[in-house]
Amino acid sequence: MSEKEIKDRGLQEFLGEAEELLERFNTGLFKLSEDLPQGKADPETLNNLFRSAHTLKGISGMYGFDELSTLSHRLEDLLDNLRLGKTPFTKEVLQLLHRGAELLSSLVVETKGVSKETKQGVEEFVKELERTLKEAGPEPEREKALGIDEAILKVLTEYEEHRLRENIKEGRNLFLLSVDLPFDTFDKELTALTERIKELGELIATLPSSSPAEKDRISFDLLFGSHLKEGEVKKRIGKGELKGIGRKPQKPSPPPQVKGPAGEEKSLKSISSTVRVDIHKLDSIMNTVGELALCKTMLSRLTERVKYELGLTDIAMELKRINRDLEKRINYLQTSLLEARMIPLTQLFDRLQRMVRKLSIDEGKEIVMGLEGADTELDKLIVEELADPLMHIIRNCFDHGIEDPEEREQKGKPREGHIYLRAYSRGNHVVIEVEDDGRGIDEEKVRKSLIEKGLEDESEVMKLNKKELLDYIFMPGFSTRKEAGEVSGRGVGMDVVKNNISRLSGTIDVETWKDKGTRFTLTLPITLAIIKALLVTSGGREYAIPVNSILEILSTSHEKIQKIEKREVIDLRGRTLPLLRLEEYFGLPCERESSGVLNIVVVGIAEHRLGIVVDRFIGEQEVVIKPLGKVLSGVKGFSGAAELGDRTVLILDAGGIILDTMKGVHSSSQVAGNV
Amino acid sequence: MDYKVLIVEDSPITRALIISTLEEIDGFQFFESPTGVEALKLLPHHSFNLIITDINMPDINGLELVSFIKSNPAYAHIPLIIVSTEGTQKDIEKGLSLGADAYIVKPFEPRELQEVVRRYLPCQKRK
Repeated sequence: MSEKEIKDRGLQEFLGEAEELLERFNTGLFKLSEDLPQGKADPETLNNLFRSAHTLKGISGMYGFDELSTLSHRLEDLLDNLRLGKTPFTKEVLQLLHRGAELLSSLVVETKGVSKETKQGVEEFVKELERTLKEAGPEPEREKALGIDEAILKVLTEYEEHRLRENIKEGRNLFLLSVDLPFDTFDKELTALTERIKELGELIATLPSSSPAEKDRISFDLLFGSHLKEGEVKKRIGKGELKGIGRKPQKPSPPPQVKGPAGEEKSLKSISSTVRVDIHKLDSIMNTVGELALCKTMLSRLTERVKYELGLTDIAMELKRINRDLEKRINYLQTSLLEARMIPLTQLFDRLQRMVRKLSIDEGKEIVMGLEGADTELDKLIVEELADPLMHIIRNCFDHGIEDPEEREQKGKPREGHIYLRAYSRGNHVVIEVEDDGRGIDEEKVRKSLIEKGLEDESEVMKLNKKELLDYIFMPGFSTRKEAGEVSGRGVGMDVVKNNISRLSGTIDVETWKDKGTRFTLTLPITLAIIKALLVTSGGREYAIPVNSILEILSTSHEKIQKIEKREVIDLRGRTLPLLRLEEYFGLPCERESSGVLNIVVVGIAEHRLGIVVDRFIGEQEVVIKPLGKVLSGVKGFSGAAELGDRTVLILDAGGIILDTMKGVHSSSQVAGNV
Repeated sequence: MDYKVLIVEDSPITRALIISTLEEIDGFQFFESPTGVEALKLLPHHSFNLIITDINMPDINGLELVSFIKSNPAYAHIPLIIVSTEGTQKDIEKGLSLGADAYIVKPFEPRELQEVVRRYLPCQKRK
């Protein structure tokens, strides 16, 4: 077997082990963060971290991943200094380790080709690490003449020597336990013994020895430190020959609780500046803020009454000023709360990237996923709800979109397929794109499938343009694949994905190019919870339309309505604007208020526009979105309900309605009850 | 008869790499041990011709293992190679002073490991 073959065979194993090491590293870092307030790192955690970095360095070096090897080497050095007490354990050092961990992840993800940015990031970081390493204090004095057998000192690794010194520094008593165990069972007995010792203190070294005379027995000298006295230790271990090590312990360093108030204050300040809060707590604060906003609205109405009904202009002025002040503060409170809920997409994106890598290995497809804009922030709840739909879309790209390496070569494409996951902000929305460079969606297959499945008449299907046709892939029961793939297509279709996205008040679009690829575009609101809504009435019912989906409000006359293919439209500055009557959409009896004016709310999402015909505008208001109950959650067209103090109003899911009407597919039999 | 090689190393990937590197030389039978304790258990049951050990390992470390093997007349003759990462120079020196026969610094070149092994088990041919 050639060197290359060895490496190829091992690459998968390498990735497996590297990921496991990273996971262990991250877990260790998390534990370490918890130690920071005490200003003292748990030696075992540090040692585990050191070992992870050490092993990662070893294996990445062997596979020739130079950046990974260098980076883990420097991190290992830093951790080595930390565990040997050469570098103090501070917030800055912890941050360095966290950054290091992130870079390690990126490098492992990019084992097939390190991007320029990552490379540069690593180089800069390594330089920074080296600076910190240079600042390390001198190696602590080597403790000689401990009264410990030279044979034991000789087998202590540098780290174990350090632990020995630390134990002495902390005023622990040192013990040497010699046990003689039967060879057949020594492993179990030794484990039990070390466990017991760990309960009493810290095990520093385990030295095996055997005398040639007794072949069926093996002896161990266990060196450990403990705060307990010799008698107590003897009682608790109850085995072997215990020897307290001659040297009197040094004066113990004062325990932390003796520290003066000034010292305490200082240590409190060094605590990490973040707090972990349950998202539901934030939700409940958000609700309160929403209700506060309602109070403000009522106050402002009262102010109007004071002014016009009572004629108390001065008091009204004063009230108005206070109200404005209140409004400013509530706004600030809202914004800060919303910001507190925002998290970057990084973690989700990383998880998806790992999924793709694992799939590529398992399925033998050569697919690489590129990430862009992972630092884009979204409400935590939305990010969580996005995981499943995104995973499903990516699996679709993986399974249906990207061809086998051989097929790709025949088409003159690189063997390696690509999936790009991009995120960017656009106004009040975040756009997430999933794009592959695969075969694209076959329009003819979609048409054929629609007819075969009897979802649509042949004549209708032939009339559909590309865009209309593609919308059908989000319909329940649609799939162009005859058999379900291993990865996707296990009965869960794109319709579920679409529903999930709609639930988040988002939309999904698809574009495709034959043999070039497919792009799914998800448009999502940055946050849920509180929105500004326009309250309107239509057919005697009140609705709330989210302001962030409203483009403009028109008042025109009924004569302007034209009919194109049975659809009501008006001409809006040269563009045809389709109209929608909510009663028709929801299939409700019409109780239209007759007024000569045609009131239209123009809503839009992405490049789609729709005019919703309403009877009356009530006003703009901030509302707290509450989820719909079980009964209504299946009804299309609503994204939630808003509590208005004296009544509850349903909030229109503008995005969902727009796309629904674009397609002309909606069931008019749905009933939207008044709440 | 095949030479018996014991590899004591807690990283499975490093073990696999050592094995695939040495598989290029004919006539080896490999024994793997992820911990020092397991190595101690294996020792009396096989007469090993070569032991390769890491230093940094949980429970019994490589140095302790070297000390045990080299101070025990039943095993002292077995050639022992330390495979450890650079930067643990002091540990390697300690290992040599305890009687280890050679050391290799990770990451190692396959040829380097093969050469050191051949030095101690000289009659092997290349495939």
